[in-house]
Amino acid sequence: MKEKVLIVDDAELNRAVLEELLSPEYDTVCACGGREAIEIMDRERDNLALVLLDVMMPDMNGYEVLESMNFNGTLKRTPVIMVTAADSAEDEEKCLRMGAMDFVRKPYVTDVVKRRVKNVVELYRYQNGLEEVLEQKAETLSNVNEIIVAVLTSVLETKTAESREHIQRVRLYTRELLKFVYEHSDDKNGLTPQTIETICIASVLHDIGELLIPEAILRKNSSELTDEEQLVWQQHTVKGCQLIEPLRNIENKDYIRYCYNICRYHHEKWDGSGFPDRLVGDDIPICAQAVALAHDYDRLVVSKGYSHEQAVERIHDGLFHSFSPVLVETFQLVADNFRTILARNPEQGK
Amino acid sequence: MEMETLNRAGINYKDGLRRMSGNEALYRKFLKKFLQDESIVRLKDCLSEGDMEGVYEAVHTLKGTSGTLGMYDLADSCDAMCKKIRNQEADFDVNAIYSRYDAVVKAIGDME
Repeated sequence: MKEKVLIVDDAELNRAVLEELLSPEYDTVCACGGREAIEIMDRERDNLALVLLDVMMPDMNGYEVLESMNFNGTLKRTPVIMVTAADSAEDEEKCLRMGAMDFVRKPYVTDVVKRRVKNVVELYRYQNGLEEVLEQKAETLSNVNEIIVAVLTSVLETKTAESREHIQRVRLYTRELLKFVYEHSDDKNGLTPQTIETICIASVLHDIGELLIPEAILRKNSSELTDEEQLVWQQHTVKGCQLIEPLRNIENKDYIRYCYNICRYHHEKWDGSGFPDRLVGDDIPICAQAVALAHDYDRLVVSKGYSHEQAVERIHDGLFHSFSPVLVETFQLVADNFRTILARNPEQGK
Repeated sequence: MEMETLNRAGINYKDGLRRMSGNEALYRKFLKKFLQDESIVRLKDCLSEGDMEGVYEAVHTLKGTSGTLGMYDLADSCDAMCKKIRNQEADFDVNAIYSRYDAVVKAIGDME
């Protein structure tokens, strides 16, 4: 299907020339003035690949049309090339300033018009296409994620000691930590606003491996576990990865990579005393470090009955053992936000 | 020769043709179409009514179309008049436009 180009000019001859010029490659539609042009744009919406707009027109001039397109948002998706008089550099500057993509001078050199139209149409096709793909991706991910979250939290809730509020809180704490690191630390650890969002979404699955651990073990307090049971329980990190592995073909590779790293490494400790791989220091991915701290705080204040202040102190005293100094420091600074998150997402009780 | 006749009437045939990507049939079609262009009528009407805004628009339009078709003398006259009107000077030469318009129209009318 040919793309559609709107030609706006009050002189019939000019419209005819442009139509003749563009009709081999585009569907053309003409308006003989600004008002008609706006009517056509309203009707066609996103169908127009480009508008060729004359500046000087009696009923409503090109600038007024541009202004209206700016106002109603049409200009974002539909590019405009202005047609100006040759001697008016001022007009050209004004066109561009008001949001036109380009201009052509009257009298036309047909090859120049064709070339400029083609360039702008292609640029916008590319840009609009990209935006659509990104929108679809984001939507797919968030839809899939919502379903995953809904199903898994129900399952985790019934089968393990985790609650949906806990999962939600860990996600929010993680965001607080990483956002602060991203905004204030010299070493951003490869974080961007996008990766932080993806990590937070991925954090939901941190304990998915518990689904493969016998319920009898999960129901016990960690202090009641025998050494053997303790080892079985620790396997939830590795087993979670087994559940995530098959998802590797999913298009969003970052998402899966974060899921995997969080799942596997959220019980590693800074001093190398964690499990399953006994990673040390920054060998532990930052996403897992953040989730580990978030998880620990939540465990202290919710399961172990510590007060917020006690939990903050405890995590601070654990410096150099469990968590990275940078994260512990960050945690001290955003601890108030942790408390707010906890207050807003309290346990509902089962 | 026809091309010379057109040139003498103020139509730069070679240049006008270049503007149409060298498509001769197209160029001739638009030259013929120029005969139906109503800007000149509008110019006369507005002038007699003293509607200077209308005069300006008509001359401006005529400047554009004549330029596109390689009628540079006519386009120049229109341009001069546009400038005068913009500067609110009343001593514009509308007759230069009429005579150059008549010349191109006659040459196009004689065209095959």
